Amino acid sequence: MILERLDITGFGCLRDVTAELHPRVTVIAGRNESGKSTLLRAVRGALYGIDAGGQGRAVDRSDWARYEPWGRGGYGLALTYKLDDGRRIRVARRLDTREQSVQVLELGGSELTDELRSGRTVTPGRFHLGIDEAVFCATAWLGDDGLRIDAPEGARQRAVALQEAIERLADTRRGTTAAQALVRIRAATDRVGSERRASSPLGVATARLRVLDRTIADARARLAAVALDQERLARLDEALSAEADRWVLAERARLSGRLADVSDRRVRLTDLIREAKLQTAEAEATAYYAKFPLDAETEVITLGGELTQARLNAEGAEARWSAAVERLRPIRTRREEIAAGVAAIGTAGDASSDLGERSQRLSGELIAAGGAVRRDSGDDAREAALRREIAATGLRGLPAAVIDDLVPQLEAARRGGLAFGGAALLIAGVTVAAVMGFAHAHAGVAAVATALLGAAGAAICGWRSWGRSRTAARARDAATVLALDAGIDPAELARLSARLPVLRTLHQALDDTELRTARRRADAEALQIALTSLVTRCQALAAEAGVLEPLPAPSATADGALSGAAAMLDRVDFVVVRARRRDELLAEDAVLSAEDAAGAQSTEDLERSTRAVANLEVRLRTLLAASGIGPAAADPDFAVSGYRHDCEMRRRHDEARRRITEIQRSARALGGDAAMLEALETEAAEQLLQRGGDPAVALATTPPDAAEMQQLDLEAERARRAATSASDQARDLRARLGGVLDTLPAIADLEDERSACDAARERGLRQLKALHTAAEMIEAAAKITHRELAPRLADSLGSRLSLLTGARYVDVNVDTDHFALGLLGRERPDMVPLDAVSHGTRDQVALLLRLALCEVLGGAGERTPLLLDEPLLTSDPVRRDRLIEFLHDLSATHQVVISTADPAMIEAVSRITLGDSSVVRLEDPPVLDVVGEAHSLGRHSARMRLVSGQG
Amino acid sequence: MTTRLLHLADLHLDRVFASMGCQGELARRRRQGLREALLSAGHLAVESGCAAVTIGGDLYEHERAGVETGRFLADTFASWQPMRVLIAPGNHDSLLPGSLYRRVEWPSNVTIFGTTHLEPFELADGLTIWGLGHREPAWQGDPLGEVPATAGSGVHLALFHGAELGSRPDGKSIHGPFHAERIRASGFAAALCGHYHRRRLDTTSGLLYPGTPEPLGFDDEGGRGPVMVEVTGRGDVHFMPHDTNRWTVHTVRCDAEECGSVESVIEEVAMTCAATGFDDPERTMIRVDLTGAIDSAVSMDAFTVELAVREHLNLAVVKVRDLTTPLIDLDAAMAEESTRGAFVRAATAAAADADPDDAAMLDDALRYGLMALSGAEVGLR
Repeated sequence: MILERLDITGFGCLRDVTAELHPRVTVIAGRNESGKSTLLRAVRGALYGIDAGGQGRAVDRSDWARYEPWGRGGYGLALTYKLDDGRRIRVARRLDTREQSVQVLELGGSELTDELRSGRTVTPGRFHLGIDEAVFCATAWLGDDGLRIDAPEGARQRAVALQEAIERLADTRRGTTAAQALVRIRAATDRVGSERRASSPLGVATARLRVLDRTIADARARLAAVALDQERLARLDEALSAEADRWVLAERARLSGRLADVSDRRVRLTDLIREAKLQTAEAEATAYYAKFPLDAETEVITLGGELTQARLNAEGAEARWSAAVERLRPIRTRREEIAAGVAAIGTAGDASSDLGERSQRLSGELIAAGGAVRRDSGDDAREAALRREIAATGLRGLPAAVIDDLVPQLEAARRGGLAFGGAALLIAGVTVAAVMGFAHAHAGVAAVATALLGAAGAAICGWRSWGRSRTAARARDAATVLALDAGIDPAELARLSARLPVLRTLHQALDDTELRTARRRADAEALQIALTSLVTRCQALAAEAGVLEPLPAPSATADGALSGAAAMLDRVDFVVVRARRRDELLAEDAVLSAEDAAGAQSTEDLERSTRAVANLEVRLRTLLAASGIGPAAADPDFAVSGYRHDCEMRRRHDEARRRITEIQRSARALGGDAAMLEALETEAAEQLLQRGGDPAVALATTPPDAAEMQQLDLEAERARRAATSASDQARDLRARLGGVLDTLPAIADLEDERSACDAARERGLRQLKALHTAAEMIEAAAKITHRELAPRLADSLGSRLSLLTGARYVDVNVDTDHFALGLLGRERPDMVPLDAVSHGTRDQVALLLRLALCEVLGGAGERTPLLLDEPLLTSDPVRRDRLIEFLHDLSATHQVVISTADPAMIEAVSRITLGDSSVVRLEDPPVLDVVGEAHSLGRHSARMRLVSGQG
Repeated sequence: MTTRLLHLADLHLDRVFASMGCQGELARRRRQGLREALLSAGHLAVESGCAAVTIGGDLYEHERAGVETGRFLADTFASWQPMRVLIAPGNHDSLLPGSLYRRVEWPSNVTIFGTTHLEPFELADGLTIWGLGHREPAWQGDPLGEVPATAGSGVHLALFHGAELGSRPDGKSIHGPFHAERIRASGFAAALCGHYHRRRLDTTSGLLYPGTPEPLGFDDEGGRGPVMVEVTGRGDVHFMPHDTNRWTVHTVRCDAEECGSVESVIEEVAMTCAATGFDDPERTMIRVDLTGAIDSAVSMDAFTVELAVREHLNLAVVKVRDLTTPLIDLDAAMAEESTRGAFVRAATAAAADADPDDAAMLDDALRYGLMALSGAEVGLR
């Protein structure tokens, strides 16, 4: 890139300045504050724009504000430069507002503004030089200390500074190296600290977190324990309440039982006392019988009882005997009558028991046989009647088979052909009449058609009439032949042909009747045989029954035989009836005989009872007399009754004595003292009332027995102990909880602090991780960048260094870590460090290094012009001339623009470059006018004067 | 006759507030604020002649609730007698073994619903409250799954802790899921619920979420407090919200794009916070989302900003979320042939393939690296 022309409308102190630049070396000359540096800044501004602040950068401290024109008028500039390919570009910027406007034109070509835009800014330098503004500043634009040619530091320091400059450029293109950035990150890492470093924030948070975890765990455990204790206390309170209730209930039950028991004892004792008095009175009343003997009581009472029973038996026997005597009298009369009846029946006619049944059976058979005989005559009369009807038809000789053949023939003969003949005549007549009618009406066609139809109809009917007449004739012939075969006159047959169906029916009925008559005759023969057998059996039965009368003679007719057999059976029945009557009389006599015998037995019973009563009376009197107590009374019953009374009195006396003893024992068991029991009852009732019980209810219940009372006492005692135990436990636990509750830590407070510590720790760890990652990435990126840049720098440097140092140094080595330079000369076999070479060489290397950086960082861009702002300010003439020579040589590839206020410098450049340079002179700054307006201070306009070459 | 109830829920007594940047004395003040909210609600209920205070769960947080909390609740409820207190335990105060509901001796006016199906409590003639309680923190049953016998005369209200699925906020856990349409279908005039921290009054479906009485997180902005429920003699139910909260939270966005130093960032954040117009700074908590591209040379440190703004405005809490990005033309930086360019390329490439956590860490690494490479002190996020 060759800068050709710079037009400044207004930029800082410069106004309306135009500078034409030499393609090799241009010297910007002017006194201090004349605007030399501003002009170089304007070149940079044209290529990269002017930063106007914003986005975190103060506007008032921006370059846009700094280079605002000092006077009124426009704020802008334009730069024209030529590219290596010959194209000429003009960049015009208007800087009146922060937003700025810019236009880039290819002279003789199109507008390139948008093509050279990077984000919101248009940067032709970045596109055409291939380097951004930072690299441009660091390499192509050198200030007065940029080369450090006359810097006061030692050689090593200068070399190190150069290395750092390269490093900064390679790492950030700003004032920081990767190593310095890592130092910053390490400082931040140190600020975060580590978990193990207790004094660091992260260490503090971690340690506190551990403490809090333990504290919270302890607190939770304590809270859980307290919660358990509280629950236990609640359960204990419930249990206590339940036990107390149970105790009250048990105590109430015990007192109720006790009250009921005492009351019951008191009542029973009172009853015993009352009964004792009664028993004492009883004993005193029966004291007379205290020694009455009771030994013979059982025997006396038994005998008395037996005597009473014997007397009752004797009375019963006597009553039965009297009744038997009265009953026997008619019995004996009846027996005599029976004996007479039996004698009258006699002994003849003894018959077996089934004789009557067999006679009845034979009688039934006789009745059935009589019925069969009476059914014989009906069919004969019917047969005779049918024969008479057949004869009445006049066709008796005509058999039934012939009738069946005749009837169809006669039917066919009757049909004939008369009907169809009449029809033929009628059709013919009608046709003739119609034809004549049509002919008269001159309807020829109709007449002809009618004639044809009529002729056809008459012909058909005629043909049918002829057919039927012939069939009838054949049927009549056949009927005549059949009649002659049957011996009947055909004329008679024609007359009587209407009777043929009736005759046929009569013949059928006659055939049926004849068939039945034949069957009946066979049955009559069988009946005759059976009847003979039946009469024989009747005779046998009569003989078996001993019928003494002569039997009737057998009859030839069936009715006679039947009558005879019936008479025999009647006689058999009479014999059977007599035998039955005799048997009945004998059976009645047997019954009467048994009753007669029973009457005799009652007489014996009466005698035996009387004897038993006498015996018992004797024994009782003997026993009473033997005991010496009973009176020798005539009535044994009275004696026994008295004996029993005395015995009873003796027993009552004994019972009263025993009862008195028993009462005394029971009274002792009940306490013996009614007053004491009453006092106890009162006391129990009061206690029961105190425990919420009802004495009335208790007194109404059944008093418990001793075992139940003991059980109630035990339960009450057990309930009391349980309630007391629960109460003690609840009291102890409550006291313990009371001491703990106020010392419990607030979990929420601890958790808040723990959460804060945890968050701080997490944040610290996250920061550490991010910082470590950033450091690792920067280290890796620096290593990669340095390894890529170092050899390229060495190549670029080496190629120029050999040329510019007259091949004194032929190669350069650039260290990949920190860009430390080593030069390989002809005079030494090893690499010479930069701090070991001469000042001039070092300056040359520094300048070449910048150009190399321009090339390396600019990639395939244009050759970068060098803008040197008073670079040789403090150098001596020899070194100055040497460097001007170097710059002149360098300008063959890189345009050089030098600003200076030193006339000697201008002269030296003119002398050394031999016409390859030009000078741009800026006007002197105005003298300060202390009375002028403030805004005019330092303001001036510049007018460019071109001094071309030596001229 | 009109019956009034005061419904509240999600008080979360003994809650931890570290996530809001509170700890120590400030956190204790916040917890005390929750207790004062309960006292205030009771005072309002008594003054308004309410028949009962209904609590829709999450009255306290079981893991942290101690004996003292139980004592406070029992004493507070006892002081409201004869007004009834009906409690339907939720997922944070479920009826676990060892819960306060089981071990505290509650006054006689307190009724705690202890079954996972709705049980009736006849509050007044013709007004029945049906309640249920969570018996475990992860209970997933449907509160309206079994239709109770509400067919009879009178007004029936449901009281439970549950998640209405039709209006569930993003990320809110599901406990006791149900649909609002089921409220009326089940025979209830209204469902007095708890679980969602934002207030919701839906007279159409009868759904009522009173929200938290005091803000529990930075998302709980606006007025908060219990809701008065008025049941008229004709069976109509009206909801009347009361804003009784004494603590307020705000989330503001602050653009630090123009800030060239930490001091200017602090100034910008302070101005943004002041613009919220808070009344009581000592009970005001502000979350600041700091955005914009900041030059890497500015050593931004969120903690420094929080501290400075809090002291400057005397606020209870200032929580800064640093969402700023480095002021850098990333495309240009990535194209740069330098260590910085290589670093940006490496960090960007690594972040592109990383999971969200690592990507966030790499974002921080990029930020720290750019700060360091710009020569500035590394300000930590």
